[in-house]
Amino acid sequence: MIFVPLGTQAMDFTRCLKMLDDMILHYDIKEDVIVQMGNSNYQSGNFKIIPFLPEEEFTKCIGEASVVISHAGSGALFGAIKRHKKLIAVARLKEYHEMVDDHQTELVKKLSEGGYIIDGTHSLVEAWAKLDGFEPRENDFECEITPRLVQLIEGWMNYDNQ
Amino acid sequence: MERLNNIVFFACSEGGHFAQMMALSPMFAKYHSVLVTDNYRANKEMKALKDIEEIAIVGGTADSRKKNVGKKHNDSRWTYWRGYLKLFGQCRRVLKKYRPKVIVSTGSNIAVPLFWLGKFMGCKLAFIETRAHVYNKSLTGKLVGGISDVVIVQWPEMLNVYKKAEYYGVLV
Repeated sequence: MIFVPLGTQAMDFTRCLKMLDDMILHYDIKEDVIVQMGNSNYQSGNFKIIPFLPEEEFTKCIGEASVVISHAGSGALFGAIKRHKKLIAVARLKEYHEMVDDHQTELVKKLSEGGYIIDGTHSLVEAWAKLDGFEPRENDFECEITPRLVQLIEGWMNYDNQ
Repeated sequence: MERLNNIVFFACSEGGHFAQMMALSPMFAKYHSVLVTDNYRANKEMKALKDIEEIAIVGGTADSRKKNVGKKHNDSRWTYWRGYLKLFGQCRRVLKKYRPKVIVSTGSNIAVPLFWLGKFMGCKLAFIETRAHVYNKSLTGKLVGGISDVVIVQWPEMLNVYKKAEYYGVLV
């Protein structure tokens, strides 16, 4: 199954759905495609559309998917990386009124250059071709933010108590 | 100035900001922690929130966003600003109620009224720039980076973007 989560933003993302339709026809994909569409208005005989999914079902769909094609929200991207999924990301762009700015392209650039995901922002047909032989890089991110915050807060609390 | 309480606010808007805050959940048990969010689904049944003392929901901008759902191309600035004013009022109320010594935020817009009002109360402010921004400041960062006591960025490329930037990896 191919899972396509497009987020919960109020803004339309029809461009991505059209690209998805093109991709399915171009490669004659027979696998089930499930789209969590959000607030776009689109219909297609090529995939199953669900506007929103409860969290447990969302997680289940990610787990069962062979490939995830997603909008470029940080939750969707890191969620797939954590579970070592093959992910194609489509950044929402300002010029098509998909987002108020182009910041989604920043994370897509960073993570696709790092080998974690494939960039499908401008063409899903091209991105799908790159899946062959693509093995996503393991989640090797590290984080020491919590201990630093604990240290800072300790200092602030004590300073004020003197 | 009235004394502040030994309370820590953890403030985040819904979506990715909320998810990043949940990655900090091991900290919640250490303090009298109050989660301030516009995510209506936040409740203490959630595993990550079991150690949160209290949850304060501030609707504001999230309310107005919901009303706009489905309407194409909706740029009603008036609705937005009305939501923002409401958020401001709600943030003022929770700050007065708890008088926290520290505010930690992963953004986004909820941090703006909390940090500015909190600054005047003498709160210590820790801003965690979202992992979604790799090369440039977020709008929230532009508005609160300067008054924060520390800005924690999540990509090394961002170290030069803020004066008070510190980098310790990314919340995954």
